Amino acid sequence: MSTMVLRLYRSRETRFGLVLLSGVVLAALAAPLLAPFDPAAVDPDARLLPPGSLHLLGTDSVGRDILSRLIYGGRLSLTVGFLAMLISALFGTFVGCMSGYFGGWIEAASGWLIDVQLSFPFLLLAIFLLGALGGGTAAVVLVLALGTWVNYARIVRAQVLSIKNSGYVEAAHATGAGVVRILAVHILPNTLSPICVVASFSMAQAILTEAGLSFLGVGLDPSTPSWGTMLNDGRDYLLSAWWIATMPGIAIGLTVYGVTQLGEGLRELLDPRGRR
Amino acid sequence: MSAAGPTTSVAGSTTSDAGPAMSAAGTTTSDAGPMTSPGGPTTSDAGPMTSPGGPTTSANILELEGLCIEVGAPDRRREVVTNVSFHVARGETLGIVGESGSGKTLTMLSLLRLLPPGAVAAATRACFDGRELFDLKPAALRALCGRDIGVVFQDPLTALNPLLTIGRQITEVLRRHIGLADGAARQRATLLLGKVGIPDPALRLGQYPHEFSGGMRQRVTIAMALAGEPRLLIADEPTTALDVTVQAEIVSLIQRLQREQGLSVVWVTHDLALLARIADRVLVMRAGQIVEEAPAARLFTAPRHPYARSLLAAVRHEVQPAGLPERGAASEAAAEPRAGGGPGADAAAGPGADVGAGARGAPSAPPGGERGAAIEPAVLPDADGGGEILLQARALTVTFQRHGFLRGRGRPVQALRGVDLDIRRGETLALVGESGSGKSTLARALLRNVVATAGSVAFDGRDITRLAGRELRGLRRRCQMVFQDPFSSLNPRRSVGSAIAEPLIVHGLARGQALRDRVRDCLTMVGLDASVAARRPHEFSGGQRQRICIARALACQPDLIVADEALSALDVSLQTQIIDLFERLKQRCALTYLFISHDLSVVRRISDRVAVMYLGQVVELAPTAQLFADPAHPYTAALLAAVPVPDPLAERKRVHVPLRGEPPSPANPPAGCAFHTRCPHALSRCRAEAPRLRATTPGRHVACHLFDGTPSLEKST
Repeated sequence: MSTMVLRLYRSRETRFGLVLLSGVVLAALAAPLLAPFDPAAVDPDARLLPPGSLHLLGTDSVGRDILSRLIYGGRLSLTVGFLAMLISALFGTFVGCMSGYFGGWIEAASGWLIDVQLSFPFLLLAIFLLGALGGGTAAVVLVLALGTWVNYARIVRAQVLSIKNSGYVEAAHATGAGVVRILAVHILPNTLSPICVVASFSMAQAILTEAGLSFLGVGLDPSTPSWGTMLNDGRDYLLSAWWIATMPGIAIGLTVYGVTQLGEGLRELLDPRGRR
Repeated sequence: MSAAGPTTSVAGSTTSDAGPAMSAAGTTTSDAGPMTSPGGPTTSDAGPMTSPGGPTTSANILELEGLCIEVGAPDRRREVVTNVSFHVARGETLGIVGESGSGKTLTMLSLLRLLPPGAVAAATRACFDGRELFDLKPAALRALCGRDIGVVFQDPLTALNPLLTIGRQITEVLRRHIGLADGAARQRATLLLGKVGIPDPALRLGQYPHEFSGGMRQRVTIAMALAGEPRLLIADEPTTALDVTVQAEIVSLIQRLQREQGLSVVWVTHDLALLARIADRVLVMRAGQIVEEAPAARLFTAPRHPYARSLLAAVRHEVQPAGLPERGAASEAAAEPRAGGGPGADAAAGPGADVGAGARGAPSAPPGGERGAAIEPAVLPDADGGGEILLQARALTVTFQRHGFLRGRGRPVQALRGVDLDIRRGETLALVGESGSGKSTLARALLRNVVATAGSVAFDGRDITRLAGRELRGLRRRCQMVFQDPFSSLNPRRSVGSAIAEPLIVHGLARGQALRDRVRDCLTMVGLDASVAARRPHEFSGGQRQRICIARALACQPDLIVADEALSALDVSLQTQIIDLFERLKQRCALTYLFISHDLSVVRRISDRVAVMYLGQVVELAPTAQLFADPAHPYTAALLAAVPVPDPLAERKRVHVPLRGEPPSPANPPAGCAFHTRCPHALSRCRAEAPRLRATTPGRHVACHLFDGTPSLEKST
């Protein structure tokens, strides 16, 4: 494990992404220690303060400290993004694997499902579903996962289709290996590289979509700080108090960059041909 | 004498198209004549090229001096072609032979600036018809390529754009390089297609590449290469992707075109035997250097460089001189003399090796005296039908139904049409046939990787046609496979050791220390060091990977190993080593082999009996020596006749009668005997009635009406 991190550390971009992301994660974990203020504490005397010496990143419309809210908000945004990525990756990979390997009606059914979903504007679907499910963190995670599983399913299916016909899968068949073994040992590991790339993008996408949903007011409960709800809060003050929306925007951007760089590094790491 | 033909006709055709070159070509004829004639008195190698009287500069269409090619990142460049110099005379065919990585293709590509990115070429002189190639501006070079220099590449499938009609692709060359108008270009294209032997050229012009077979596609690329009326044709492995009978047709075609148009040809290939038929002069390349340059007649009789000798020995199926260093395979043992393989191997492979050449009257055929005596022991045990039957197929039929949602049901492809076959314990049975003949399907059906549509398969006396689940996996333990491509048949993510361990784990045969021990045993058995188990496949060369695949097949001590084109992706010298390995393992592990190959020279070296397949049926089954010495079925005879012999004299004496037409589609096989559409001896009966595979002489089975009567008929063919 330590050698893996060491190898990840070799490329400058990956190193930067790794440092950035672990910084964000650590800050979110150590939020009570780091945050200078209570993220929910309202201070009517300190409304709409620009970044300054007391409130480093300024305050919002009800006088809450933006830096503290950013640090706490990272907890929710990262959790939601990571969980959504994980669920969509698992589900999408499973569907892609099954449809690619077995073909037949499984492939037809999943293909139909994918087509239907892609033909629907996702945001519309999300708003509808969140309305029906009644919001909440779990509902948001599920809806976000629903938005990206299609990418995994399509890419994994294409990979499985080509790997299925590769010499080593045929060789494994000939040695008498069963379907489970062939899928688990020979096919899935070889789809990891593209899954890694899609995962980094989909986590980024989930964080952004969560922000978008919150911005539209159908996402997480506005009282819990998340980067998305913060963006939403700043909507009305874009011209008068730009820092309210800009600071969470920067946080999202940096995190997404860190995740994609790490994903790229992982992809290279997982390719055995790149090892020395 | 036939070689004198092309040289004289050079002058003729040159006269008609190029004014200034005419006089030069005229003088060339007089001194090139004796040089290229193989029947003439042996000329000294270097003599004719530097002949003082001849104006050497203009006599040669291509002159190259001191070519070096480097590849790699700027900080660690590596020279892959070192100081290569050669020339091509007008009307001459120069053969360049070498194994993969020898730099033969890079050398030719560098002349046209088609090198892959990162490769840099430099030469003191690279002169095409008086013009310095490396000094030309890109536009001038583009004008030269396709007009004065035609190129034919290896893979006819990728050389053509699948989205454009053939006509469009040929007329593009004509419009660009000759400036013909649309109508004229079309007419010219029709003419060209006819010239390269494509029937109905006007109709075919409107078709797309996928509507052509491999051989026809290669004819199209040749037509495109010739469209600009080039004076030099560079053919880079043009027949490597093709079947042997198609290869013979393409070779005849290029030879004919060369005669008609006075072309100079540079033929790059890995197949030395092929050059015996076509080349006037041969360059042998190895590791980026020319190790030998000689007229074909001399190279094939008295090669001087040890590497050239070993190449020739390999294609002649002789024992390779021991101790030759093998490229990229330091740990691979030098080839063992075949005689060391024990009496069985000796009888099986020894005589088979030379009989074919002997039957064609090759004067240089090695040890002739022993031949007659050696054949007998190999044939007789088989002739008695002795030996326990390990695997038996009866009327085995496999049909693939093509599905399509809205397209409805396509015509089913009849991959196997009633195959009867016995494999005896301890023998090596070879399955030969051209692509599409169903040999791989047969192997898969025998091993139950494909379920038979009809007929039955029995393994070791037990019907396995309908086997499923646990019992089927039990069968897998006893029959293992080695595949063609050593690069794709190993999972790149898993170590070599775990690949070999896989069958043992799957069948629960060993675990822990026993498993590790068995993996080490298998590795040492195939001549690899046991310590390599932890490495990954990409760290090994092709030959080593194939050894790993063999080790994997051996791991659970099978009875039968099916090798599906297991040697086809390897260079000749490696083939010899792997064949030796197969022979050794057969003795040591009491194995039976089913050896699938399209390469008859490999088959001749390794097998005891040969089954020849055509369009999903076995048309002849005979002991190897008998089959090669005296093929019975007309298709077998055609197949053998198409194989080049590594001897220019014998080659020129042979009459090349290419098979008529194209192999029929397996979706629509002809009625009666499937071969009757191309058979030179077809009777009216052959069109109506399918012949059955029946014994003619002891040990030999033929499916042909010509042999229906008495077995003695065989003698008359």
